Amino acid sequence: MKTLRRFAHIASSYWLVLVVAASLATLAGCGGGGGGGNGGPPPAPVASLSPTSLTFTSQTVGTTSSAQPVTLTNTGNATLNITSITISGDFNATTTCPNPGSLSAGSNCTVTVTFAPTASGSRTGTISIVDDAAGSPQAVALTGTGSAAVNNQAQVTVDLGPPALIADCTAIGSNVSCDADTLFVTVTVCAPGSTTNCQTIDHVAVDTGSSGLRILQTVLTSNLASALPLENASSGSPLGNCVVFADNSFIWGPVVNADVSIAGETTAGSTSFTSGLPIQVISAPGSNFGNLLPAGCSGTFADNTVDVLGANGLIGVSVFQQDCGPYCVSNIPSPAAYYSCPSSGCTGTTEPLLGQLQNPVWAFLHDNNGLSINLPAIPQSPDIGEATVAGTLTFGIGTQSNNALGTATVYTTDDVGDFAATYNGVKYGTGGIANSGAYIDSGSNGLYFLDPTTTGMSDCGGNFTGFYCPASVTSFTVTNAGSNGNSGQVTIKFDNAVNLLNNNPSFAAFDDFGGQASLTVDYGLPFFFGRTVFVGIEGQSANGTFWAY
Amino acid sequence: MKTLMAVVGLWLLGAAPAWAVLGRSVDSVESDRKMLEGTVQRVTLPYYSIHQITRDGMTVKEYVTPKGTVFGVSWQGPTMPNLSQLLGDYYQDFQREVQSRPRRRGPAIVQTDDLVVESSGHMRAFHGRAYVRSLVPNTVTREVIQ
Repeated sequence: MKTLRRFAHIASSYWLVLVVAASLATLAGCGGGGGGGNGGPPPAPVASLSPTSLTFTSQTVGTTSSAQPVTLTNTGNATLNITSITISGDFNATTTCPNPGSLSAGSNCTVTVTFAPTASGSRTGTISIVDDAAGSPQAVALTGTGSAAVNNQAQVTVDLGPPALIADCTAIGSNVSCDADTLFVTVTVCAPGSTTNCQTIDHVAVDTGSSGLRILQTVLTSNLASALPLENASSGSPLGNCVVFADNSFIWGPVVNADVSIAGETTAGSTSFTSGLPIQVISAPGSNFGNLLPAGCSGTFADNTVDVLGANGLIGVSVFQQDCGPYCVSNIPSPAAYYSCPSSGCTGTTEPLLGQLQNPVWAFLHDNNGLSINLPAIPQSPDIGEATVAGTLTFGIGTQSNNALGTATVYTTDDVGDFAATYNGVKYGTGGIANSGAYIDSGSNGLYFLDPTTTGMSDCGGNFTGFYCPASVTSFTVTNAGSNGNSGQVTIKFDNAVNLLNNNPSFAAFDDFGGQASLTVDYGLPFFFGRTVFVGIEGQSANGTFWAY
Repeated sequence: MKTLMAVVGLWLLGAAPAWAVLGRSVDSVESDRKMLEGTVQRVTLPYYSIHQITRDGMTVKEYVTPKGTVFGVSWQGPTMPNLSQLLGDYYQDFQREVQSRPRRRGPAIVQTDDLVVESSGHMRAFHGRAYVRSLVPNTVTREVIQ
């Protein structure tokens, strides 16, 4: 049984403080005194508990469940004198009941119980209420299952990318993506239900600006590629997906089903995706599906090779569960995101939510309410960037001892995942065609921040047009504000982009690299250095859809 | 900016226009109907007019000179529009510019002596604008293109 000292400590943050029990003998005597007298049954308290047992679902060891209440009602016709309320096992409680104290006839109070398993397996405990009613002590049986914590952390790196890319990375303008500030993780993809037909794929770019796993066909083994079933559109024909990004690059390929794992987390066995998670195979140039490319799916950069994509794949882990989401369930945007692809050619189609490309994190069996990315700060003297940086991608928010929000401020988003940013008295994120909000995008390889007129920084010009080239490192303080009313200041800084890239061409990580954007603030990868950034996935927690840092 | 208040005409039409094409005649745009039906809203101002086309979640505004030339376009929608269609003959200039530089994964900015293209956003929320400096009427500032 839990000591009263501990019980008092647990309840100390609430208005009721449980105290050391009074003398049972004294209280019993008091109750007995009320029972003397004439021939009818003496007035007596009756302690009724509802429910008389509580069961908690599986809970990760070291974490605390949501609360369940137990109501104590005095259904008798005399005051109930409570001597003590205690709890045992891996359970904690707060209560509105007097402890000790009296509960008048007809009154009730509540004991609120949480489950915090200290070990895996079946865990049991008891709430025990000692009072002057018949049957004392009254008991509530508590049961729960502790589940072993899974490894929810993967190493992420900022480096120059897959070896195949580095080998081809010769010169700027060669249409080879020799860009810095790209974050990579290793992902394991398996045929649905298989634990043997799997491929571990390194250098998959981590993108908090999109949702969905997309792997290049050119890096998949034929053994795995042939075992990933094509997903069908409602027409019965294979389902294709197109995404065009703001930089006018595009990705095209079929939606297939697979099991996806990172660190100890997996989508295998997900009840929402019993036949596997929808992911995309990025069609290789000239492949059968590649040749079905719809006319509307086009852009300047075809992200269908390692050289152009700059990675072996892209893992979208935004604040949203799906890439397009509800809009594509009942509408076909222009250009379409989803296509029905008979061999005669593809046409735009709608697609139900669970058939769309999914942020794999929300489909994980555990730690699926969000993620966080922690990158160490770039050394500041001299502040020239780093060749490589290693950080941590952690799944779940507040689900294990290693992923609490802590002191991070939560910024809830608008319906497209943005929040407001105010710089120099001007607020960005007030709506309108060219005044969208700010967003945090690990897939952006720079800080993209307003324009030279507003920032006072020079554009580099020439082949670096669009990037900033200030004479010296220049800092800006921006105030971010979430829909929840939280606000806070951040400082971002810019160095001369040409010098950064030219002085150390083998460096991959810069915290002060960026350029112009149109009336918006894109907190790209440089924002992540020296921070832990949380991505709160829609519908998965009480905080709603949010960023936190 | 005060000219924006001087709305002298506003129509809602049930026409089926294609997206605007930068630099082309507005008539050629309307005859080039490849796309599905949408609604077009026209606002005529003293020195230019705005044709706002809304279709499939995408809002495109075309900015037209009194003689009918599209000097600017802007867009906003859940997916990225087809820039080759919006920019027309200027798309090659745009492509040449962005391909000649370090890859920018993020908003696209092109600023040549004549062409300006700004494209921002992420999945579910894209927006941007483009205009041709030499086609913008002298009495109009580029800030009107939003």
